[in-house]
Amino acid sequence: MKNNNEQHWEPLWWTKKPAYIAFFVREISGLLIAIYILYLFIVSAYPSYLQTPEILKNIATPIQIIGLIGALIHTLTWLGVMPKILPLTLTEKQEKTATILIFAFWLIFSFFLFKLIYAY
Amino acid sequence: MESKIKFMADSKYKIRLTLYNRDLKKFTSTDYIVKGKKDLTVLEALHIINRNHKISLSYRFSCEMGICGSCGATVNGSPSLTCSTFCKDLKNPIEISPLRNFPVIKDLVVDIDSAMNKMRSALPYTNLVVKKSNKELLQSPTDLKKILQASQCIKCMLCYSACPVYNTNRNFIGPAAGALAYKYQKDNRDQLKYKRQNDLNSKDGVWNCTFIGECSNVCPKNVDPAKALQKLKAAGMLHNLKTILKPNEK
Repeated sequence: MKNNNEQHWEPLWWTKKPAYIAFFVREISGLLIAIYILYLFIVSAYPSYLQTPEILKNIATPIQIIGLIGALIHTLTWLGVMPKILPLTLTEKQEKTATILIFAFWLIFSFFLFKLIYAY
Repeated sequence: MESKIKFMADSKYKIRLTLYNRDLKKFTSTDYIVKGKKDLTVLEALHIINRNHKISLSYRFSCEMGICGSCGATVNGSPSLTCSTFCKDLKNPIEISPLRNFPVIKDLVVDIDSAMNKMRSALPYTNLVVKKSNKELLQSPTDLKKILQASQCIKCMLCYSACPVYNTNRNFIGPAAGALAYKYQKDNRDQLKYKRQNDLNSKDGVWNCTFIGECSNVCPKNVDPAKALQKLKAAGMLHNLKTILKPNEK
């Protein structure tokens, strides 16, 4: 059997399978957040809102929507897999409980963060 | 007798065999019509094709009950054990091809040596073998429970076939070897943890896994290699931290 290095399969067979698209979406969602952060950096470089160019003001809403979509996909998928990476041995039931607790903690934390930023 | 034959052959399936043609250097498909019982497995369909069409098809099988892990093939695009996949659950035509990510030897038989070597590199033994100790090492039911899921692996190689990381990097340790390493890392009787974790943290170790999770989806024994690899990453991080803080401790 000297055919260890033979490649019979088309190297990119997996890109055509829908199961792997979910993975791409999960990873690319990080890029959407990066776009939003980059936008924030550019806007914050201007001393005041009045001095910000019109084009940056016009694309504010679409960029925020892109950032929100990216953040939601990334956060939800990341929190969903989090119980699997805990260095603890959990049963299936404990894993489900951990998932619920992580999501609950995320919601509560986000609520307080929201209140802290937008309360006044 | 007549009625029995009629009962036995009450379903008809179109099987599309996609096999590697060495002369053309590409995969070619051939369709076969298989008549059989309603709960016909894909492996039984292969038996019928081999018998009725006399094509001397090569494929591996042994127990025919999902225990030995020999009969893996790509069925309708997904790596599956042909003996436990029923034709009635699949979309027609049923496309059968060899396991992906492995070199084809003939028809549905693939060369799994590379993956087997990866499993050997995971040091799948406790130090009882290394030290030749006579001391009895006990394992409690709680300790066993920790590694029971990872112990169910039958080395069917479906996880390697589903892994795109293994497809792009053949040096990657891979899902089954990762699950095996995890099993021994969590074994309370094992004392090779330091060396094994060092190997797992290396360039071609667990950190190559991107956590797509298809290996766990195709696993017929619910071993969950993806989870094992993520846990090894977390353990690897703690291991590195420990190595920095206590460099002399092994």
